[in-house]
Amino acid sequence: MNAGGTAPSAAPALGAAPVRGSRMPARRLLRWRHLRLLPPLLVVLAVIGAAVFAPVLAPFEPTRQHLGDRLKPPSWAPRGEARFLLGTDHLGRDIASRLLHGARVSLPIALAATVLGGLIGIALGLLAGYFRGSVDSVVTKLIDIQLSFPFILFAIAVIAVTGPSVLVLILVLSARSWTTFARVVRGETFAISENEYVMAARALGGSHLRVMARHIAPNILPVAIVVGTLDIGAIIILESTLSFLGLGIQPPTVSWGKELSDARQYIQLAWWTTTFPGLALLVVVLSVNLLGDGLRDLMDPRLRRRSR
Amino acid sequence: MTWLVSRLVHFAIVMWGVTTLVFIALRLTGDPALMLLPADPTMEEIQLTRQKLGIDQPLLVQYVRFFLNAFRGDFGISFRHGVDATSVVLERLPASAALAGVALLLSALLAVPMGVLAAVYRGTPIDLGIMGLAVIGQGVPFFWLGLMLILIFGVELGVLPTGGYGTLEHFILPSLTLAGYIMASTARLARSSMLEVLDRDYMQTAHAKGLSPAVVVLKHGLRNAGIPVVTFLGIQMGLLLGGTVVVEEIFGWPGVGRLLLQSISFRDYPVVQAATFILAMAFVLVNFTVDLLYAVLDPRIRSHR
Repeated sequence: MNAGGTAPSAAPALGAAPVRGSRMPARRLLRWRHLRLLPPLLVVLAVIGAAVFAPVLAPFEPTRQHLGDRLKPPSWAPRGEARFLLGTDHLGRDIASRLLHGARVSLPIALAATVLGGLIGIALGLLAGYFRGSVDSVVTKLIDIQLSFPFILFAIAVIAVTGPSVLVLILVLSARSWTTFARVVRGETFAISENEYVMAARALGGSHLRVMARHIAPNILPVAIVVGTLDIGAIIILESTLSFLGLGIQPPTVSWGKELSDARQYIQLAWWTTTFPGLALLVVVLSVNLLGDGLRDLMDPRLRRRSR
Repeated sequence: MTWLVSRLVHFAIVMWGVTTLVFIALRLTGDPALMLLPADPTMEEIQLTRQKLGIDQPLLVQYVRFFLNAFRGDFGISFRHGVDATSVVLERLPASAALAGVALLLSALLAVPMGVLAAVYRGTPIDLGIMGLAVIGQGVPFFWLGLMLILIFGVELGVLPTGGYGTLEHFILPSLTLAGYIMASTARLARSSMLEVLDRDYMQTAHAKGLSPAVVVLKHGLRNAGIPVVTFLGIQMGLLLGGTVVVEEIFGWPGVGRLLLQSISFRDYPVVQAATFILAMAFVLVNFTVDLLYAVLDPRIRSHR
């Protein structure tokens, strides 16, 4: 929730800072940017792969307890054991295995919430940008109201009432992400509906729905994908925050946020139990953010200004 | 003037939205009468309690009554503390406000100079280093940052208290954690608004007058680049109020956030509602004040909106 989509973008001047002053050939620029995408893309793919193949990769069942080997440090530390690569938690469960299985929970939930929020945001943004007028002012007001309320408070209030469950978690998180999509899509739709082909489609007798679905939406999609990539990191952090507070994923399902809240009590005894789940989160969120930054610069430099 | 009116209308709509949300939440929780009564109450007892609570009335009547009560600060008696829920919350408010305020100050004092430095030394290792740090900062879950600070300064080095409230030392780790929540984005904004200002004509003029670079950057640059940053920090104050919930939980800070979480697990709904409502109102009020201040600082805004 590090200010998510509202964060001012300061796309690092990495690619755009040719010291020699003269303009770089477009093709070379493109290649350099492709290259920038590669490391985060590889990390993201590796994490997805690890999540998919967790049952094969994990040396132990995530819930398997080794009560004789509680709070074992990582294998390279003194007292560590080779079979517990990242050590064990307070019940002697293998941390590496739990992290691998945790990815199978945290990532799909963040993805589902982003997709759902994206669908809602795209639909409302399209409507607002296409029809303008009163539709637009209603949607803008809705966004305004939502942004003038601390989201985490909203999430806590809702979950306090409904009780924690995966479905509620996804719904609440998607309520967070729709505004970012709606704002950007609204602006894009404004611009696109000025185009002659849109007017032509209308003149040929295309219905509003058809024009929006066939002529505008396809042009919105790349932008929406970029917005989603930029936003999903914040959603992952939010999910882990709620799970950390005990309002998200419930045991015995493993999630990184819940791991951290369990580990808190042992922070004096076992640094590894709090360190590794957070590192896992950091690596995932960082690479997704970098991927989003890169995609944004690559696909549409204008978006940088508009999404502020 | 129309601008002020439109802000006031917006403010009123948001307040109404928040109150309605809290009301709906209250209705969804089920029958409050059953929660107040001991197990297996008789029908008569239920009926009596419902009358006493006013929930035998039509929904619309309840809604209006709730609305009026909310603005009088009457959310009922705390199940757990046995006293007025609002006063339970208000008692904890100063601790939360102090935490959020110190965190805001800290992030301004740390992040703004970093952003300015990065802008002035654009493209150099200094810029790359600072912005790299900001990118990493945006990927760090801030509750984990808190845990790591506890681990390093509390457990390994043993120089700072890991929780509690009272002395100045108790403020350091929680406010750093909370500041970390918004520092990365503040630094990025400070950098980009400074960059926008740096090659303006008046900066050239100031340089040409022979002023020292530091004076030019600080007096002429920062003063202009500062406006968006100040607004941004104001908006972040609300985020910080939300963030205190998490930070208070980690550090055992006796504020509204921790009270809220505890009240949820105790099903102390009057306090949950009072806390949600008061935090939300604080958030809305801060935003409103920032909007006003912004208009005072920069007269152009009034005509633009």
